[in-house]
Amino acid sequence: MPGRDSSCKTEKHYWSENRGRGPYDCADVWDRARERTRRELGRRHLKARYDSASRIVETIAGRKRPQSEAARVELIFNQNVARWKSETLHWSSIQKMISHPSYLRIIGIGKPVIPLLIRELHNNPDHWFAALEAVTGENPVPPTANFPQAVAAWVEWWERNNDSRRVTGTLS
Amino acid sequence: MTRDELQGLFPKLADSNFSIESAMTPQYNCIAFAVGDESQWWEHGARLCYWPPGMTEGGTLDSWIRVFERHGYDLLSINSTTDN
Repeated sequence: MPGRDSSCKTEKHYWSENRGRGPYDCADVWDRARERTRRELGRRHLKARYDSASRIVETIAGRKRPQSEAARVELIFNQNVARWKSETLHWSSIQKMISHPSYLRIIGIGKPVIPLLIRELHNNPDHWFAALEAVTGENPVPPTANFPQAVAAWVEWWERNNDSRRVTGTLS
Repeated sequence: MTRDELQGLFPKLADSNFSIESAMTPQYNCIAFAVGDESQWWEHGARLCYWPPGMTEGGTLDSWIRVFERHGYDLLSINSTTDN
């Protein structure tokens, strides 16, 4: 049976010779401290695991995935715009230009490409009217419009249908 | 478009003394420019494009010859062609 430890200044603790923690160690104090440390380490470990899991969930289901998908669409778009411009810049037939594989690939992206096309049309006007019509199913350009009027008609169409996403703001 | 890019597209330009007079534009094409119209793209059957009234054919050498003849050009007997 452990007796009262004469070296324990509080005189509330019993000395355990079997534990052998040193002449000033109080067994239950040490056990409680160890228990607190264990709980604290466990809490930190649990929090770290929770934070890690949260980031994974966020990445998969939250903000990260749409961003990477949008970035992927934009990358494909930019690559095909560059190729289309490079390979058709000296052509004199719009019908031939809009049949180019890169132009068709851009149409094939579908609706996610609409804001990119509008921005490209606004910043670097070119013959994107057929692509926009193919993707949106609409044609806001009057039959008698000239090139600048056609560009303006599509930009206005976008701003009319996307009040919070003005071409000169969010898109540019 | 730079001189190098132009010479790459049209190699025969390398032997000539040419200069770039204006930036490229999608508003009109070479046919329109040749007949003095810088306001619209000339092409048969394409939307938002102009093609002379009464000309029912486009996209062929014969149709372009007829368009140019309407605008004061004459066909010569020199047999020389360049793409585009």
